[in-house]
Amino acid sequence: MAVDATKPKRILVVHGVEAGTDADQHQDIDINKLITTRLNGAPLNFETKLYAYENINDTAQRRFREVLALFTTAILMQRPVDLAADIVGDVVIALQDGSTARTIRQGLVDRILETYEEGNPLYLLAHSLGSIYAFDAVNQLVDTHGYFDRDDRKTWPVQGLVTIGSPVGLRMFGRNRVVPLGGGTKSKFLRWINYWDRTDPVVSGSFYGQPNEGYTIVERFATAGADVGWLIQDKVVDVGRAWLEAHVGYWTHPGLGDDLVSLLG
Amino acid sequence: MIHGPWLLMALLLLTGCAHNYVYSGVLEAEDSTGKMRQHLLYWNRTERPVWFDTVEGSIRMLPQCSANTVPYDEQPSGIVFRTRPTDKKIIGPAEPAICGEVLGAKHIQDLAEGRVELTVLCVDTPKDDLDSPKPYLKARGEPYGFTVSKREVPNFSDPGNVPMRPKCQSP
Repeated sequence: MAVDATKPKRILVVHGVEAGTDADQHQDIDINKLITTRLNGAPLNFETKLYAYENINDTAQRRFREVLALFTTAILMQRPVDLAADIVGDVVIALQDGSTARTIRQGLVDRILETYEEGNPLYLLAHSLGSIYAFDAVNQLVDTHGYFDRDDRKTWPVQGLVTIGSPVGLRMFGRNRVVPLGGGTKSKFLRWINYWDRTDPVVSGSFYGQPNEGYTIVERFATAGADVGWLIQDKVVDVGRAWLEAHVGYWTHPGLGDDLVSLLG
Repeated sequence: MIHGPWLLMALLLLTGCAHNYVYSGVLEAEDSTGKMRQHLLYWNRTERPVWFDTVEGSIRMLPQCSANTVPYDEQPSGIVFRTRPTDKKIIGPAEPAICGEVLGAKHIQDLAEGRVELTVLCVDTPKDDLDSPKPYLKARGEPYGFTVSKREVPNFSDPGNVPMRPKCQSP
């Protein structure tokens, strides 16, 4: 069981909280189209798949949808909605320990390992709340014996993590560090690239629309020592839209497409 | 009809009366394999005069006949090309984290149409057979100069609004 470099590189897309059912999710098609467009005819052996979990429904997810609806309403009505931050926190806490969260996370781990068995080099691309599941799944696998030999990428079930519009940097989510890969020759690194738009309220936790200042969101996660083995980079993107429109605007952003070409190529 | 003005205001609030701009320029020069290639430099900017300050994304350089996307990100130290696992620094002092920088500006917002100079100090070095060779602009001690022009576009997502990687004519 090892990654086969001759097989197509695969992007497994993990969506955020969305309306509808699994059948309504097509973000993998969006990303495939974006990469294909940005390749501009250049060859690249890749494929995209979707990990959908909308059919795993529970109260917590319904509450998160309500929060998103609250954002929209408040923005349209110009009402301050700091209260929403607390509600999001409650949702996340519920998700952290809830059986539904465990089911979704374990389903993602299983899906990653299925791909590993098939041999395709795998990259995770996760949006919004999906990035929490993706972050936890990768770290769970790094912490599992038999995977992620620092010097042998063919033992890595995930070759890279890409998060877009992720709230994982908000303190209320309780994530602040990655599981180290260990020492080795230190020539290989597990990449995590976190894309964020300055006006995306889900990233910043600011619901007044104030652009988020600074340069980093999750780079502080790599503070576990010299043997951390992760290369974590935040990247500011300008999707050309604001607020919640920014939050859903990553899927078609050319810069993300160009960077995915480079990551896979 | 009573909702008309409110709807208009809501739309204005959501967009912030945005103006979307794309900056781009192409340079023909040797890549690290010694082949003459085109190299596209671009970034985008959104100006929202009503509600927000101007915001920009990273600067990207797309080499012809290569899948690499060379990033110049705005950082506290300036606009820099941060080293990735497949980049090896071959020019300059042993500062492993930086593979180049945009000269003459600390912020992308300060860059305008005209000449933009940047340095390339690293070379692509695949680590194993999971990485393919992805050459980019040849590292050298002197900066490269791009002539950049600005264009307003309706959005960044529709095809044709943001320039593409130069097509590969002879691999």
